[in-house]
Amino acid sequence: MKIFSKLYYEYRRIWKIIVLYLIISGPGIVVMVADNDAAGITTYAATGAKFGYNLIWFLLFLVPIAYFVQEMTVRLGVITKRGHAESVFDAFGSFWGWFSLTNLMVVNWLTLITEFVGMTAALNLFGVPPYITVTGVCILMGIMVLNGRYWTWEKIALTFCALNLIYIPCAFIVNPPISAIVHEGFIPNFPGGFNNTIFFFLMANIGTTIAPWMLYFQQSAVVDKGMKEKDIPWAKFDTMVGAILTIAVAIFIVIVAGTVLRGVEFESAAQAAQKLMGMNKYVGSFLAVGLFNAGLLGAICISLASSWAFGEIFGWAHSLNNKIKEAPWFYANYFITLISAGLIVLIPKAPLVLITLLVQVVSAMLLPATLVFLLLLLNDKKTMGEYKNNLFQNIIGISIVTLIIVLSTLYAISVIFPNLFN
Amino acid sequence: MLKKLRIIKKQLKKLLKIFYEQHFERIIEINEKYASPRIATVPIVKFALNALKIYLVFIMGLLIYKFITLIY
Repeated sequence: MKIFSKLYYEYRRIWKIIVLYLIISGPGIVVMVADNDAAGITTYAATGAKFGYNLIWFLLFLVPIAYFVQEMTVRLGVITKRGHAESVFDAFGSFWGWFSLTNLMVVNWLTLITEFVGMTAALNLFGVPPYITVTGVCILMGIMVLNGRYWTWEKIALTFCALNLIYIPCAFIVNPPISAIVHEGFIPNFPGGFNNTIFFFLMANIGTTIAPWMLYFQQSAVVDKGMKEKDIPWAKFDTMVGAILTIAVAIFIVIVAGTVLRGVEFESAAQAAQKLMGMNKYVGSFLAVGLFNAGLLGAICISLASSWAFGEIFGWAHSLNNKIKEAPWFYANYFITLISAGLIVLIPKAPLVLITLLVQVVSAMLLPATLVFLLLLLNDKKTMGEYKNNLFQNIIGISIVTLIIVLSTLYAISVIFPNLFN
Repeated sequence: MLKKLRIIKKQLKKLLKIFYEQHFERIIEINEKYASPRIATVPIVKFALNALKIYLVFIMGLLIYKFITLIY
């Protein structure tokens, strides 16, 4: 009898922990899974097709990198109760504030266009015309934000995050050789030696893991959700779960592409899905659905990141808990960004390749500044108090930030001068 | 139909005017509010911000170079 009561007590305790986590969870998972956006899916599929399973070990290194950077935004948001844009204005003055805000606006808008490109290309494979995709996405995203509650928005976003796991059954359907994955993927190696092509792919993979909008989004989401100091450990755990999930999905995409598309060249994930459809109808369709979902998740977060940032600086009401009448400029910004990006995709012969390249270049301008500001803010004792970075966090943070800055800059340079690394 | 369009046009104009008036003044207010940085400008902060400026000049220089070489 005593054993049963103990078991019941344990069951209640664990259930309480799960319920508490489900209440707190959200921003960390959403931002991390949304990081696997349309461009991310293309990068991972291309990595698998080019190098098979050989770079899986490198993807594992991206878990702590993504976690440590995003974890800092959680602490900053909870302690200051401010979004990242407002924190930069307040701490570094209007020059750096406007620089960050305008850059964020440009890079987010350009990235949003690339998400629409991914979504329209994905649904086009099922015969859906682009204008229907754009209209449908705008309506869906409108419904998501206009319900007037952050909580509802977050839970819908989490449902889309769950759909991102579609790549896991994909990997099981293609029946990959497990021993080859273990031998090639989990022992660090560079197939064919460390050459320019590998370096380019490593840079691209790191570049897709940390994007400027992610920092702005998570900090604002933490504030909008109303998280308190006591929630920090859970919010950190949420971020860790998100980081593991996002890299797990990336690894499964690499496995799918490495098994079925090895040696095949393609320019986008939609093209990869089309080629896969010819080989395996289900896997190709799953990849296309996953690509659409990835673009949608990216669009959901990116458009909100911009609106939150503008709301903070211009003093507009800027919470998803506000109705449209209470926060008209916040929602106007959201819809103008969204609809204008969607319309660009519908323009015949729009310079979409140029836009994709511009995203990398503008990101390379904003990302170093955002990361440096983040580190400096986390070392401001006056603001952060006991939640200031300690020595260990600073060593890890500075190493990661330096690595990201160097690699993302080299990636941007390789985009501007494509023949430089050949 | 034309009458309705005119009303919409008029209301849009009014909205844009309000937006311009409100936000132009707001930008000046924001600049005044955040005129000086709040963070203590210790040497490491000064160094980081100067390094950032150099980095941005470098990236902008590359872009301008690329633009010029593309034209000629």
